[in-house]
Amino acid sequence: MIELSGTTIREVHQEIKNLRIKPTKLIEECLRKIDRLNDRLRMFIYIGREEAILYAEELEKELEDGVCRSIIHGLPIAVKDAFYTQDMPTTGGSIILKDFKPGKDAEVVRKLRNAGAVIIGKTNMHEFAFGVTNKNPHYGVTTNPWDTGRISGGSSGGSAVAVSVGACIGGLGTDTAGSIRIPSALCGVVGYKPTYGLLSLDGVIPLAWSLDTVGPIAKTVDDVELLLELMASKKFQNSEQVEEADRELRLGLPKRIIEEWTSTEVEEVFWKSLDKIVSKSNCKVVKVEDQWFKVLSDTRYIIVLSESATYHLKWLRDRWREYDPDVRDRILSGLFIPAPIYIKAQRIRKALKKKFMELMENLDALVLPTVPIEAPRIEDEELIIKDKRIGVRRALLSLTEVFNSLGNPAITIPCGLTRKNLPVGLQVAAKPYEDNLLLQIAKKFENILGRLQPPPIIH
Amino acid sequence: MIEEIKKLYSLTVSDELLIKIAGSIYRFIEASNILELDSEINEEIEE
Repeated sequence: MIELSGTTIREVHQEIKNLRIKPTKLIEECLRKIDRLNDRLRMFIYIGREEAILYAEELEKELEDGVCRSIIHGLPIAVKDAFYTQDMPTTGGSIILKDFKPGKDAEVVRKLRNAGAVIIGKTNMHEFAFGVTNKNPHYGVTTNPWDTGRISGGSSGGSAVAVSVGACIGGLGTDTAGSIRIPSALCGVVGYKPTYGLLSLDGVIPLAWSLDTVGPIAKTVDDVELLLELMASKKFQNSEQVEEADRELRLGLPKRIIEEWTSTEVEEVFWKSLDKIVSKSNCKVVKVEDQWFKVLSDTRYIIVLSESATYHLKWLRDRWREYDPDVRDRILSGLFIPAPIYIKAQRIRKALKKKFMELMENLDALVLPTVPIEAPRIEDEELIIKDKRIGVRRALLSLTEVFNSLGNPAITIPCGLTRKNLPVGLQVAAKPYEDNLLLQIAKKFENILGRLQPPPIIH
Repeated sequence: MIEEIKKLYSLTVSDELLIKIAGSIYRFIEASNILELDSEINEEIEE
């Protein structure tokens, strides 16, 4: 049987299409892996055992009749529990929604299912996606497959872990401050946050409407691109951009912020990877101004607090005791933000989007680490980075959240392991709507850097 | 203000918790400097 943790969508598709591997057998194998690892990793909240087998049987029958819907026909996909699913519960990682059965699929889930994806289960997440550690008091801490004493990162931690260990071929996550990219980086997989608005948010439990995005998690950039193509509402392929990636690339580097905030362990891997990229490809690295990181971070926080408080008003009156206290306090904070402050935050954000476009005028992409630290230990609340004390939450999202404020696409690809054998992610961000160029650049970098081996836990 | 907020949103959360949360968020807003941005950004906003 095929080991999904080291296999791509195209490779599995070849086997499935010709029925050398039957969809039902593949799904059974994934379910066995989930059964073996879920107690230690807490990656799934709901395992769609019967639902997945039933759908796989239907898809297998279609293959026997010569019908193959798409490249993901019969392939297992894990879905963050923030997405509505018509045949499975959707908790949002909360107790408040523990019995919620939406009776319909989120738009992107519907598209994947129609393309033949088998939804294998709903993955663990930070409660209501409002946090980046995946320490969930209701469904357990999602642990890191590279070291189970450490966190996966979040809030799409369950999907990143499921992809990393090969419990599925791809996963879905949401990203409001880095929730796809952070766990993907810490677990050694590829995570993609598309341009804001490229993928439908219909049927996704919101955190902050003006910042939320959904996106794929997989093992390679090509896999991520294949999933994105199946989910996108409009055609985003642009052949000109594919050719563009072959010319000299100009990469912006926010050097000051990297040197100031990134841990020595992560910096070492990042600079080594960047040197390798520069020496093996036609690209020029240019240092860029990065004072705007701080302003965008502050405005994003004000926006997320205000918008999340609005969504949660319905439960704050009677059900506030059912939240994780940290999440509850952040949601309640939003009630105290005056409207002029929220509006000013949105206007600053708009102005900085314009400044960012000016900054990027002669650049193709920015490069920086995805997360400035290694996966923290479960018990860590604060860390010391270069003699500065910083909260784990703040450190985790410090290099990703700006791209939610700006709305541009950003990807994380694995770029190596630290001395403690923990994955490091390289983040690449492009201008809004240049998703295709970004994916081509990321593929180029992935080819140079090579892929990580699967985490040792699978053996 | 805590009483008004509680009444407005029909909250049953304790006053102590709300006072702590309000204090924390107002300290953040003050420290963020969001009300006193540099003129360059303000100019951009006015356009």
